Amino acid sequence: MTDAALRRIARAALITLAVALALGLWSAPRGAEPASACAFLRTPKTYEADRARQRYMDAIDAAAVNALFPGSLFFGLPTVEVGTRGNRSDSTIRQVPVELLRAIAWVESGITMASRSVPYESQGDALITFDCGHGVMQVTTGMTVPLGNDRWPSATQVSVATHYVYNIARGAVILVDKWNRAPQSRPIVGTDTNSAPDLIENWYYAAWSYNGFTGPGSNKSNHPSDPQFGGWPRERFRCDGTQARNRYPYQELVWGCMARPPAPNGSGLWAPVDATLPNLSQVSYFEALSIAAFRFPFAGMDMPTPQPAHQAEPPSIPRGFASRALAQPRLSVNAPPIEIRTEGAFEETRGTIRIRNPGSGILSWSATPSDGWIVVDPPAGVALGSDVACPGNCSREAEITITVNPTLLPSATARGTVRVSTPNGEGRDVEVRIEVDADFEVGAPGTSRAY
Amino acid sequence: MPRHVLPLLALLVLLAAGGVAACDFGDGEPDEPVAEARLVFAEFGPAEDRIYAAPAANLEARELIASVPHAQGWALTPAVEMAGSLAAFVALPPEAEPRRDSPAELWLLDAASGELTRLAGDADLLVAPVFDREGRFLVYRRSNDLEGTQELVRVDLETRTRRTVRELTTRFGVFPVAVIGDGDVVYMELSNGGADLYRAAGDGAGEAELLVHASDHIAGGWRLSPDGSELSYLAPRIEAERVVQRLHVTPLEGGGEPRIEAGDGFVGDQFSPVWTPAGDGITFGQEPGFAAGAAPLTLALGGTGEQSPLTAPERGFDAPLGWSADGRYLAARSFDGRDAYDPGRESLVVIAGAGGRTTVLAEHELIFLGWLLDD
Repeated sequence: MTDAALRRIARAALITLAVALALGLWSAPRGAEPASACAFLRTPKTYEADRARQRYMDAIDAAAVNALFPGSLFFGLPTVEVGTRGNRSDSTIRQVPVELLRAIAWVESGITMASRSVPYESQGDALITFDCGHGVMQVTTGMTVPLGNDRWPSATQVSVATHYVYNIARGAVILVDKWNRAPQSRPIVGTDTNSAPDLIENWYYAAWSYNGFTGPGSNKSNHPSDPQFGGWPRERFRCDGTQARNRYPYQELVWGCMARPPAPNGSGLWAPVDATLPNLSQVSYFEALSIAAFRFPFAGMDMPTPQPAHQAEPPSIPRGFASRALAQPRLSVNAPPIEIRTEGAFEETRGTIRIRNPGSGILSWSATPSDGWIVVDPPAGVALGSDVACPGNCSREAEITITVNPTLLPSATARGTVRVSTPNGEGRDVEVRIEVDADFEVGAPGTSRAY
Repeated sequence: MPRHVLPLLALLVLLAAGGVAACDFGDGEPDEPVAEARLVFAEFGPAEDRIYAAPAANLEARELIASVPHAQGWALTPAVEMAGSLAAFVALPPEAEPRRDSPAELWLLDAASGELTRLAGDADLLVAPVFDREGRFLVYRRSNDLEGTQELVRVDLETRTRRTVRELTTRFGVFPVAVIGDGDVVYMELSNGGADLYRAAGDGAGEAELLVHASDHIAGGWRLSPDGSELSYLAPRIEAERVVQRLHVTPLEGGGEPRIEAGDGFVGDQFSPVWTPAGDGITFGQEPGFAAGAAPLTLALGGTGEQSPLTAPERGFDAPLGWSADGRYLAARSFDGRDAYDPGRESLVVIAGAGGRTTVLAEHELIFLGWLLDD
């Protein structure tokens, strides 16, 4: 067979494959499509801890030294690579500077897990931004589309969105991932210190990357010489709410908060660490941060450690901290079958599933319907054990409201289930039977999305 | 009343009338009313910025002109200079996602009347819009992240119509610098090669014309001379094993090269050059070096090279923002630190050309919008 014939066959095969793929996508059932953006179709619930952020601060300390989920592929810290561009190699270190992690958490969310409207020590809507940043660490990676079965959120996504310990642990993992992208696709700080990860200053590019390693001129720029940040010079970020964010690249917000800890409850959340920024009047830093050097794989941006360098001080974590923080939540579902009449009285058009946690700690749960016509709200949340602070109007139970999207009903009567499961608690999945009686003519099923 | 008093009274009335007449018409012309320069600035608030005007001679007598609610933590970004009584700024509306890349609103403010007009809802938050001198046009930048493009958009302030004068795909970015002539737009484009200055026709027709390669590095702080013929800016240079920002001036016509305007005798950084209202000099800040405080200097142009220092801060240095149109007052950011790397605390000050300086007191960050010259 000639080369030309082979090419024709290959081209025909490719076209066939493309057409088949397109047809497959076109004809795939869309009625059950769960999300148009981010991992959840509707906002999940979470627990907002104390105003002093003590729970979160303790978890951040533990996450920084891999004391939460050692051994976990998803929530455990990977090893940190060490060395300069020419001799970068893996190490046995599984730590990030806790000083950095604390400041990043503050810059990302003010160290809060829930949206602003949720009172401290209660549960409510999770903090989710339109770019799919979730919770304390504003975890975006892995949270932009549902990754579970049938295109529903996965167990890890539920954990990241609803439980602060998992969220913080995942944020620390992502920070290490940003560090480990050097030298393949990121520059290195510390050409003179073997890029030691225990020096806070050596995390400059990793911190920059946590928010996006964007160059000057972009509307997401974090380049310190970008004219978008206004006139030169600029006062250091004070992290006290008196300055706008406009004039600061992300990593300078983080450095500012490390040096001047916020005090939401009157006293600073951590001891100040005045980490050193690259000095742009010194040739070595100026050249590394020049626009000429901003080109993949950014080798020209490698720089020495800004001096004076500051050694990270790993926190000591009390023995058994992770077990206490995670506790022993247990899933309990009040699960009588639910009958819904779409044309009935208001209370007949919906049903409620109640979830309790007779164990301890924070139980994360998710609710997955069997069919697209079943609408669950919220799709995930928490139930609080008796040991979790929950004063006043705070409810320890969770409620899922079940309604029906009639445009997706296959017939005037239908049956389905909602499966309630937990990624972090004891207890088997519970299936709740749903029956619907829709007293109307069904026109064109499956033509609407389940909003 | 005694009779002899009447002539005395009549004399007094005549003298008084004559005095009034002499005051009003003594030289045959009425007195010029004294124009009052007012500083226009905003004070940042976490959810709302407040725009004030304050007489330069009495900064504590500030008056609220307008309030600008915005997304949490993000302040307004003002135009580089005002055009007459018109100020412009970009701000994230309160309901917007509080991120730098969220589409922002472009606003026009008549600082004399306090009237606010929304011009667009797709601006880049951190890119300062630019007026032409007469206040006919305003140019802003918008980005399309999906397409990877940036556009410079010119708003005709009389008709409120918008026109894209330049759209390009860029790894880095373009920045509006000035509006000249009949509305042509001068802009800077960044690339790995540094900063280039282009001119795009106001109607968007044709290709943009490369005016000059401004620097191999990132240039900034662009200001158009009052006669519109030259631009001043800062660009870094390596001198004596350190990097310093240097004042450059480049002509817009005739293909001339940029020149370093203040090189000899200067060691440290220069900051934020601004033109004097008459266009005969450029005022810039300078690093204090071994001195406690460094005064901003006005460098006379046109060959004399004369340097006129203003009142220096007790400690630190100043970064000028703009002269009032009458040339009597300079607004500046003042830093009490030792250099650009360690700038210390920042404040907004007004420096009188005749001597003296006053700090604008505030608890939050202050943002300079410009000067208003009242009749």
